[in-house]
Amino acid sequence: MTRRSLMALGIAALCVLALWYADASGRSARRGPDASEPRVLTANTSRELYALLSASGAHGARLVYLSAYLHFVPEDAAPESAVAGSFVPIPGHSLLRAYERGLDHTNFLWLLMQAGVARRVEHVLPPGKYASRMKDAEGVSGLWVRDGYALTHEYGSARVLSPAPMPPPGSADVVLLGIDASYMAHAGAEDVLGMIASSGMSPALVVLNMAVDNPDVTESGREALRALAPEAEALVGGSAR
Amino acid sequence: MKRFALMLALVTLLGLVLRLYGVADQPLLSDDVLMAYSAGNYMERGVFGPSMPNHPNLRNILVHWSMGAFGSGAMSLRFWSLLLGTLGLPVLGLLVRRLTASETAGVLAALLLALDPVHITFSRHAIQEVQTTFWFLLGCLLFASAYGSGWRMKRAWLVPLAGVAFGLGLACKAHAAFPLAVCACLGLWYAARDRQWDELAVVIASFVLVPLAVFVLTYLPWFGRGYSMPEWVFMQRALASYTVAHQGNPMDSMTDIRPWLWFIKPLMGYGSFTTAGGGVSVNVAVGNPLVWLAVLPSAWVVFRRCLGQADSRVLLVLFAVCYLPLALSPRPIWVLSSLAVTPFAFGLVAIALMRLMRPGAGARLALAYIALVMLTTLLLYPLCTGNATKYAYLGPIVERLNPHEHDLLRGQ
Repeated sequence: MTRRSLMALGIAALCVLALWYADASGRSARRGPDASEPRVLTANTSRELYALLSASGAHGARLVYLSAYLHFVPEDAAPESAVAGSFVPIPGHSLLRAYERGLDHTNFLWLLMQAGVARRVEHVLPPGKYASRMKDAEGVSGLWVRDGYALTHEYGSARVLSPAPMPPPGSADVVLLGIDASYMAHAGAEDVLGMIASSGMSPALVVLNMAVDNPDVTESGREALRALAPEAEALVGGSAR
Repeated sequence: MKRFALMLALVTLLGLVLRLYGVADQPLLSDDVLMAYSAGNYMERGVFGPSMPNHPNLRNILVHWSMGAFGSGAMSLRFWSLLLGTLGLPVLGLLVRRLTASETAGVLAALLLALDPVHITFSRHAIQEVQTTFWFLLGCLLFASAYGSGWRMKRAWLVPLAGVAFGLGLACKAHAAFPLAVCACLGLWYAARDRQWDELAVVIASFVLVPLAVFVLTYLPWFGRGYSMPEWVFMQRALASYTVAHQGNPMDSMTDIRPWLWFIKPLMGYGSFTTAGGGVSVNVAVGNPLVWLAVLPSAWVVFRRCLGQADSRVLLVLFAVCYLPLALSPRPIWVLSSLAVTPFAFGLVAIALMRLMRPGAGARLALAYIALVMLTTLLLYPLCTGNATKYAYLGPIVERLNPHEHDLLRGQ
């Protein structure tokens, strides 16, 4: 074997090692919620839900959220004050705090992704809502419709829209499950519990959002979600730290 | 050799002065400010954007480092563009000398880049345009330097270093893929020609695996969000699809977005307009028409006269491969992307000029041309430094590229 062949092999080995390192560092960055925390949480508002999940210790999770809405309206790319120009030095250059000031029921899932709690968001919509969204989104760039689900992304971070929870991927993953009161107007508690159980999902944390800040959510939806709460503990699986 | 080094040093010094003059006081553009926010977003949370979220992230890493080292002022934001924009000049000079065996052509190419108002403008901005140019020029230089006469590989260890430089270029902007492809194909061709299979393996490892590994490693802050390699591949595909369909931002001027006109229509440009403190800061990157309009005739001269000179042909191929995909692209492409092409284009102009510079009337003509190029750049220089609105003669250029409805020069 010549010196150049050895050199090529050495380079190849180093490169493969670099790719493996990137993959391993990503997977090892995923964290489940602190085991000491309750595994079923109830939030009254989007802000409360965001605070609970942010404080849970979870990072890089797969967030499955059952709701009639997407809650994923991105905030302006940058507040106007950030681009006014000519100010030197630039004040604190992380935008997350500014985004959090605008947190509400329209964007809290987007913010959870921005904050790193979720790396992937799976929106589970009532079947009727899913069908009408797919009809509206026909031909939209960046949305790929597959059999039984649709895939899109937030600058490369996957978002899945589906009428039922997707089966879990082969590898172990941290799953956070959210159920929004808006979903309960479209399905009974038993249907929801049955659908989650049959998906094979094993969430590390379940959070129930009463969505008091969402004017489109009915009181009967909240009642139905409260009724589901005692059964939610049975949904919780592993992956807590 | 000493004369070449001295001339190249003088050109670099001239380039540095043009890039550095008044840059600390030049108002920040929204792009500059957004770059600071993007760097923070990326390094602290692995999030892309808000500026150019579809582009790679080396500039975010570099800007975050320089802001950490020098604070959050204009100079720390623009540090890397100033440094790499200036260093790109001698690198181009060395590359053109290597490809043409002419020191004069090398110095001329570096001089034309030093005087290019587009390169000057973006050397004074935080965004990654001149950084990309530097890395792929360095990659080409290292690749060319690895070979001796007759393109026989002499210094194999330079080839993986070229791969690193191309990887860093790709980590700035995808434009670096074109010169990388040219060097990879040439390397494979020379290895196959000489039946040097171990050399072939070095070229493949250096120009496929090394750039890929370097590119992936610049995504470590993103991987820190919990992603895996399959998710990285999905992200790259999704962003590539976004980039191909990108039609510009709301405040982008939609004039001069057809690259096939770059070297045909005079004064093609890209304007950045920022209102601040009751005033307006206007930066316009506009090509020097005396140089840009000479590119295609020069390419023709090189094509006709240098067919027997393999090394000059490499420069021609680099120009063609980097330019044609942009020129033929159906989506809008702004003049800032010309920096993926102009270094090679200026190399061709330098070769054509060198032919003119033989003793006699031609030499005087060539020198007069260079003097005129310098004068034109000086006249256009306020466009590069945020002072465009202070000079009435620049008004028509500014207004043509103004995406706003009001007349900036009248202060409305």
